[in-house]
Amino acid sequence: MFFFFSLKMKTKKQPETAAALKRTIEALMDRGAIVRNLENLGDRTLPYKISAHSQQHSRGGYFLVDFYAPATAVESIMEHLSRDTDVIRPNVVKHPLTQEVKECEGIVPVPLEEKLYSTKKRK
Amino acid sequence: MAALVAVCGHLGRKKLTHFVKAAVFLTDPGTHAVLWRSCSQYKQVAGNEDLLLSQFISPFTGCIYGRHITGLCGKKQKEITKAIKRAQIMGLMPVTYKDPAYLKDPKVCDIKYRE
Repeated sequence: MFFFFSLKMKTKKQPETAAALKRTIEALMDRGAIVRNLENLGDRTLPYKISAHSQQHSRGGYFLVDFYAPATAVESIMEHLSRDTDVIRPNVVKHPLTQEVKECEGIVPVPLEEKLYSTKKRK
Repeated sequence: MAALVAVCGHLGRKKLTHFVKAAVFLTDPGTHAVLWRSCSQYKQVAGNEDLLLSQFISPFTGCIYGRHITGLCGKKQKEITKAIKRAQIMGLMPVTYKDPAYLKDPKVCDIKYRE
């Protein structure tokens, strides 16, 4: 199953974030996930103050990890990440781009006049 | 449009703005003919396109616009609402206001603000 998982981490100096990221990815791989890609979406002010692990954060680094994993591993991944103090908010989401796109025909015009009067037989 | 929206999902934030802005400029505003709108345009809504999603929320309160304002069909409205809620909970998009960087967007929804 294809997932991607976005997480925000506390802003820290470069080697520390690198070590923390390495830890999380190793945890992923321990649970049988195959990591495809890791992206850094930058360090930004969070859109709202988030409190996690008895601390409040207003700035964070955003990371996006693509991986393949069995669906049963998701729970254990989330549990492991919620315990990590560096990670502010872990999220695992099904990979949206691998889902099929159904053709949408648009808004079908419904003939409303037929619905105006009920077609039940009246005595 | 489809290709643009799909690719945007995985680019870094700074690159996003160029692509999706171009995408939305293609559509032409004006007539209230509801059929052409939306469904064919936004083929797929991935999780983290803040620019696209911010166009469907109010800049003052951050509420998601209803179907009568966006003019989207059933399926797409649901998809966009779900994507907005997901982005808000994941901490990618603000909830009670619209990110000030996106205030100067091309208008997609049918809403008129009081001056």
